[in-house]
Amino acid sequence: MSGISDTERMITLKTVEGTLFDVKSSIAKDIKTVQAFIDDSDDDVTSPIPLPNVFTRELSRILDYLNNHHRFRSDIEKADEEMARYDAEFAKSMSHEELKALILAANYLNVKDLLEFLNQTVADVIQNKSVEFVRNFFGIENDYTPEEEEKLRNENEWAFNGVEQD
Amino acid sequence: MKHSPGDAVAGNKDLMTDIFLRLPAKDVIRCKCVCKEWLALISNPQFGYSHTLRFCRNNRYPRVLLLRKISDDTGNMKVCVVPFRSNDQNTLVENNICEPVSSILQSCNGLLLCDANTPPQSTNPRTKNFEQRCSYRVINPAINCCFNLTYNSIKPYPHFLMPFLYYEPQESPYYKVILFSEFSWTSQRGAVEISVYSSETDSWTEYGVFYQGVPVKFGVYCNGFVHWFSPHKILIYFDIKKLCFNELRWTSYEFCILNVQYFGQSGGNLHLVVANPKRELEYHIWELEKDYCGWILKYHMDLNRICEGVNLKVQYHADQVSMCVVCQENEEEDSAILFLSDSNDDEKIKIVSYNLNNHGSRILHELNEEYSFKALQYFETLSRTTRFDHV
Repeated sequence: MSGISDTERMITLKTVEGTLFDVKSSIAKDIKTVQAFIDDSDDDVTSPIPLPNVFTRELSRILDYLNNHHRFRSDIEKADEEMARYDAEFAKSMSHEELKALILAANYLNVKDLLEFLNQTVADVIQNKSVEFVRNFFGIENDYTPEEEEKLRNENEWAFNGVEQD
Repeated sequence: MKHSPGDAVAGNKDLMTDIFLRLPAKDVIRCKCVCKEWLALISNPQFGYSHTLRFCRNNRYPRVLLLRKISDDTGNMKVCVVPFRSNDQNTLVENNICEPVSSILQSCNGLLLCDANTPPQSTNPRTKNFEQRCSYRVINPAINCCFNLTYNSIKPYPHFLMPFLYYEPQESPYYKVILFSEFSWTSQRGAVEISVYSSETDSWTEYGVFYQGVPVKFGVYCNGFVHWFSPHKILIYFDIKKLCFNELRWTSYEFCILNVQYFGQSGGNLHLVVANPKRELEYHIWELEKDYCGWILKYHMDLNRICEGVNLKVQYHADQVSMCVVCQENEEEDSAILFLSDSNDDEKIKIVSYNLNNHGSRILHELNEEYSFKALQYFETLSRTTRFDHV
């Protein structure tokens, strides 16, 4: 296995800030936006691929995630267990702002598995939380009048039973 | 411009759809109150269907029991909602069964089929036909959504009508109501006429007479079939997609039909509860195999344990013990729900959940009014009951 990775082609990605990351082509395959760029260039990519929507902090995290997942997958025996542990740590290590920034980056780069994992993380965070918590989490302005909101809450009263206090 | 990831995620319909699809119906409904854009996204019938589809694929196990009570003065029904989990307060409130109905007939993958005060059958003095104008309602109480349908039944013989709701999200976003008319006239005994309502076309189709001799009233809907467990250990079932009856016979099972206490479904599994004739308050719970090739003896239930210590006694209705079998996602939580009364006071009814794996029991609810013991198993979904296009 290690013989292949030694000779594996590297691809360079460039973030908004201009930071360059060298990525193995097997990892780049999971970044669909990058892979599409490579395919469009008939595999003839020599200069860094610019990622005008992706910041250094997010790209570094995404590559960390992908590298680790590739590593887990190469060891079938422990893969599931270790991956679950790593994912849990990964989710815990992020602030809410970082989590959302990472979702936007993963969405732009079209990294399917990671995006699903991040969306699930958000769902876990907002499950059983109040409307106010959710607005705060997403930075959403309430655009209902008090009467409209009152009416909507009354119509859906049951959904507010047993919600966690903020 | 300020870089604000919050707004960008919240305003991205694809991302929010994916996040909402990962939340239970109750949480999604609460999110309607966050902002108008989300309200529109969540209220979209296509989204509601996708959510149901995902939910039903992963988990179609009931979360609550619905108990029916008919209040005498108005003819409108009251519902008591009993959650299975002790920490589960997130139940529907009873006033969500919005429109007046006289009875809930069936709960099917998040939708309820109700009778909306159908008047009794009458004879037309001129034509001598037996006529009945049936009113049914399909309700999704979780989103206060309701659809009325009527069927004018005009037949030359007296007949008994029994509808079944067919809603299988994996098959179609539309539902059907299968209406069986059973003739009670001697010369026509055993004849069942079948009419089907489809929400896709918003119309009824007549499928003619079948001679199967099933007591339509006791049918149990499960996975696209209506089942009857008849004497001589025959399982008869009507295939709603193919519109035909099938029957299966078994001779090798030990149970006696006279001892069958319960026939019902939970989470897509059919169950028979059979009393042990040799030992009082002991029961065997059989589950039909997925491929219908036989019954598996799944659980033993010994009610001596729970009745003795706490002075409770089993309630019977028509010589059958009042209970239902409830499957949960985690099989270890499979339970029998029992209606037990105080040994000294028949009026005091406790609903007890009996764990079929570890035989532990706990009281779920105490009823202070009289409710029907035929409980319906229900879980919430976002499916709309009204017609929608462009699926």
